[in-house]
Amino acid sequence: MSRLILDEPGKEILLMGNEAIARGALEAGVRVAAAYPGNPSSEIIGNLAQVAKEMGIYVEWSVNEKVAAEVAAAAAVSNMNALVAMKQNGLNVACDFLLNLNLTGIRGGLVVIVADDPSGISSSNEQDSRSFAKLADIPLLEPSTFQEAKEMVREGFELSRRTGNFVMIRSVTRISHARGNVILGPLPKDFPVPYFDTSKPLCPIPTSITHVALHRRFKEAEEILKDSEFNEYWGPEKPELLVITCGSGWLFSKEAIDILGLCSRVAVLKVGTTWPLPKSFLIKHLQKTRRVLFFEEIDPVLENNVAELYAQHNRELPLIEFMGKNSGIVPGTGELSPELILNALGKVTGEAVEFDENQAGQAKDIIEGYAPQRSMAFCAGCPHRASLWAIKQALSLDGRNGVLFGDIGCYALGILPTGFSQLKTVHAMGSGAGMACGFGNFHQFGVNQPSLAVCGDSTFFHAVIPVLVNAVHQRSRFLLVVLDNSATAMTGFQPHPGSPVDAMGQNTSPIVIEDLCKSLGLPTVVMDPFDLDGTIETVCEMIREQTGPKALILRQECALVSGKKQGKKYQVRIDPQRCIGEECGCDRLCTRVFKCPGLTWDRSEKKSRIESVICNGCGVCADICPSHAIVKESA
Amino acid sequence: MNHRTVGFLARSLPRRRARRIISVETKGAAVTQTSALDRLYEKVIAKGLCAACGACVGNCPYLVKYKGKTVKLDSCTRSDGKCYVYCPAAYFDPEPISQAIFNESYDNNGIGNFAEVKASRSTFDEILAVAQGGGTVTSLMGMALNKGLIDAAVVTSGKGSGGFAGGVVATTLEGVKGCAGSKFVGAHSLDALKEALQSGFTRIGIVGLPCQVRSLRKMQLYDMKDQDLKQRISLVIGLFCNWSFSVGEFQSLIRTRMGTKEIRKFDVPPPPANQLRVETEDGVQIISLDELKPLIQDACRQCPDMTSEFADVSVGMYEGRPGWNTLIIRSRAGLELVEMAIQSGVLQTEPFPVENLTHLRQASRNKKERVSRMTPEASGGHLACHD
Repeated sequence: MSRLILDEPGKEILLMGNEAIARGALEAGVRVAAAYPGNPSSEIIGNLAQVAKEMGIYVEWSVNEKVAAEVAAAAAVSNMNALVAMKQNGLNVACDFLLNLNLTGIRGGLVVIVADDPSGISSSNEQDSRSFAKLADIPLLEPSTFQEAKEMVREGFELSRRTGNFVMIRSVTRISHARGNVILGPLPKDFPVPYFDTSKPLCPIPTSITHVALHRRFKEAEEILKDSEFNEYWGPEKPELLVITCGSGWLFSKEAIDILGLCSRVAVLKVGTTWPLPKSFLIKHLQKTRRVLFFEEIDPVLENNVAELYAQHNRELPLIEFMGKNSGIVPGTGELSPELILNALGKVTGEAVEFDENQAGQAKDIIEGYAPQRSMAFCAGCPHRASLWAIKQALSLDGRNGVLFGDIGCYALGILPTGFSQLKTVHAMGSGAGMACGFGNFHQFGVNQPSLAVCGDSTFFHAVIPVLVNAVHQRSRFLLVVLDNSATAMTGFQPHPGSPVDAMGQNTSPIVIEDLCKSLGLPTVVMDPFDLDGTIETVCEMIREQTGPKALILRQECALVSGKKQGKKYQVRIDPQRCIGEECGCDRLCTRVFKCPGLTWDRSEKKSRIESVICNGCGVCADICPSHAIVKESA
Repeated sequence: MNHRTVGFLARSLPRRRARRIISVETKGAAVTQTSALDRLYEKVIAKGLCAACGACVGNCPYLVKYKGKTVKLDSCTRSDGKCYVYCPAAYFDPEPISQAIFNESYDNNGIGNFAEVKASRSTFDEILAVAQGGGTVTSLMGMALNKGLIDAAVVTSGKGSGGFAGGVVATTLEGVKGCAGSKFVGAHSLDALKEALQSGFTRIGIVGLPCQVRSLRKMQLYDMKDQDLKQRISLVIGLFCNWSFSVGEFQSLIRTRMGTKEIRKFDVPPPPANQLRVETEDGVQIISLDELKPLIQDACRQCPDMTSEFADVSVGMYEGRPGWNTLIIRSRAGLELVEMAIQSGVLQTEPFPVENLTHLRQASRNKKERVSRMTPEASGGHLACHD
C-alpha cells in the first residue's frame, strides 16, 4: 500500500514535496485531480493516480493544462473538491479559462498547484507564476517546508470552499522535488454529494457584477488569512536587519543566519500567504526595523508587494532601507541557494563567511574521476537522434536551407550538437508547428526555404492539432514531423491520448496520430526513423513540391522503454581492422558528429569503441559508418 | 602488352606536396587549419564550380551526390582531405602531370600533348549500332578487358542509381557496351572507382570527361591513401567535352518532355544545328539548345579542357563524318593500346586530315579563350595553379 494513504494521524513519514501536496489533497477530501505532466509538478498527479482506486477518486492525465483545469473545475462547480497541477508554462495554457473561472466562482473546492522551475532546470523558460494571483484576484499560498506543502493544500481547499473561488499554491523545484518529514493528518470518511445546481448558471458576463463579486470574495480571503500561521516570525524583537522571505528562502535564511552567528541581530519573517499579503503582521514587524532584505525565487513579487504596502502605510512606519532584487544585492533571476543567501547576508551585515575556494575545484576533480565529461545529449539509442540525423541529411540534400521549427520536449536537445543543431526554434508546446505553419505560407514573399516542424507524440495531442486544422485551412506548405516515441518521456512516461491505458491504469482506445492527420486531409507517411535511408528519402520527397501541409510520423519507441521491455535489439561491436578513425574518409564520423553516448573514442588505439553498458543496441550507428566497421548482430 | 606499362609512366610527386599545396594556398592567413572540406565547399561547390566528376563523393561520408549536385552534409576537421586534393576544380597544375604521363612539358598548343591523331571506328557492327560515333571507346575498353590489360572498367551508365546517369564497374564487353553513347551530363561517375578499388581490381580502365581525367591524374600523383593508384588506374580514355548538363535538371526536363518513352540516344550535331536530338522508341525529337543552355553546369563554362588533354587516348566525334571518331593518341600506353587494337582487328583507323586537326585545335583554343576571358587567372589550358 502506498504510504500516501496511511490512515495513521500523527505518524511522521518522509515525503517528497509533491507527495506531501498529494497527501494534503487526500486529507482535504479531493475527489478529482487532473494535470498535464510537467516538471517539477508531475509527481503530484502521478502519486494520486497510484492511489485512485483505493481512495475512490478520479485522476486523469489530461491532454493539456487548460483541459485539466476545466476537468477539475467541473468537479469544483459540482460541490466536489478538485485539484489541478501544472508547471509554470502550463499555467499560461490554462490561463484563459482560469481568468474566466475566477469571475464565476465555484461551488466546491479547487486548488490550483503551480510548480515553478527557478533557473529553468527542466523547462523552456523561467517564469514567476505568482503574479497570476494578483492578476486573477485569488489567494496565493507558498509553502516553505514539506509539512506546509501538505497543510497549505488542506487549508487551501477549506479557503476555497469558504470564499467560493479557487486558491493557488505556488511550489518550486526545491520544495516539490526535495524530501522532508511530514506528520500525517486524518483522512476524511465523508464527502460532499456531487451535484451541479442547474438553477444557477455560471457566466462571467456581465463583468460589472462578477468582477465586483470577485473582489468581495478576495476581501473575504484576506480577512480569513490575516492571522494565518503560515506567516511566521523568527528572531529578535527589534532586529537591525529583517529578512522577509518565502518558499525555499525560509530554511536557507535561517541556516545562513545561524552559520554567520547573526541570530541576535537578524530576524526572518516568512510569508506563507503571499497574496493577499498579511498586512497587519507585516506592518507590526516593519515598525521594529530599519533595514529589510528580501529573499525569494525568480521575480521580486513579495518585495514589490511589500514596497507597495509600505507606500500605503508610510505614516505608520519608519524610514526603511529595502534591499533585494531591485537593489541588486540578490540576483534578479534563478534559484536561491544557501551560498547565495550567505553571500548577500554577509554583504549587508559585514559578517562575510569565508568559502574554501578550492573546495569546488576539488569536488570537480573527484567527480571527473568517476564520470566522463559529456555535453547534454540524447540517450544512447534515442530515436530522436536518428530522426534528426535523417532530417539533417534530407535538408542538406534538398539544398534550399530548410528551417526546422521545434518546441519543448526531449527533442528540444536537437538545438544542440546531440541533435546536430537542427532545431532552429524552441518555444512553447506546439509552437514549432505553429511557426512552421506560418513560415510555410510566406512563398508569396519569395521565401523558398522548406518549412518543417518537429513535435513529440504527447505534444501533438497537447497543442498541435489546432495548428493542423489551421494549416489545412490556410494551405500552408509545411511538413509536420511527429517524433513518436510512444511516451511522454521527458516528464516520466505518463500516458497520453495515444496510449492504450489511462492514468488510473484502465484500458482505453488509443488515438492514432496518422489516422487523425489523414482525417484532416493531410498526405501522411509513417516511417521508422531507424531506417535512415528510407526516412531521408521520404523527407526529401515530402518537402520537394508542397502545395499544402503534410505529416510524417517517425515512430520508434523511446530507448529507455524498449530497453526495459525487450533489452537490446542488437549487439554492436567495432571491427578495429576496418575502423579508419581520424583518417580522411571518416574523421570520426560516429564519435565526432553522430555522437551517441554508446560510442567513445579510444585515444590510445585511435579507434572507436562501443560502451556496452551504455549502448542500447539500436544499431543505427552501423548504418552510418562509412567503413562498415561498426557491426551489429541480433542480440 | 605488359600491363605494367599502361597508365602512369613517370614518377609521382610525394604526398607531402599535397599538403604543401594546401599550405601555400592559405599562406599568410590564420586559416591554415581550415578543413579541406570547408575549402572545397567555399572555393568549388558554393561557387558552382563543381562539375560532378564524382572524385570526392566516393571517398567521403560528408560529401554525397544528389540529383546531379555534390552536397556537403557535415563538417570535417581534416586539413589534407582527398576531397580537395583530388578535385580538378580546386586547383590543377598541368606541368607535373604532363611530366608524369608524357615525360615532357605540357604542350599548350590547344589540344595538349599527343603522339598522333587518327580517324577511327570500331570494326564490330554491334558496337557501331549502339555507339555515339565510331564506337572507338567501347571497342578499346572492350578489347582491354578481353585481353586482360585491365580487369575492370569504370564507365558511365545512363541508368544509374535513382534513375540518374552514374558510374558503374563493368568487367565484360557486354557491360561496357551497355554504357555506350554520350550522356551529356555530369554524372559523378568517378564514385564507382571506389567500388572498383574496394573490390580488389588491380588494373582498372576508366572512361572519363576532361574534368574526370584531370581528377584521376591528381589521384595518381598524390595517392593520399597509398592505394597504388599509379598502377591500379591502368588506362584512362578521355572524351571530348564542350559542356555537360546538370543531370537533375536535365533529366527532369527530358522526363517532362518525353514522358515514359524509352530514350535510346542523345546527340548534339555540330554547329550550326544548335539542337539536341533525342532518339526515342517513337522516333527523334528535337530540343533547341537555346532552351537547354541554362542547364549547363557553371563549372563547364569555366573548364578550359575540351579534349581530355591528360588521358592516355582521347576520343571525340569526327565532325562531318558520321560513324567515325577523332582519336588523339597521347601517352605511350595509349599508343600501345591503339596499336594492339589495330593489329587485333578491333579498330579501323585512317589518317586525320591536317585541316581537320587545325580546326579541332582552333575549337579547343576557342574554349580556352572563352574561359580565359571569364576568369583572367586561368590560362594556358588549365585552371589557375597555386603551387
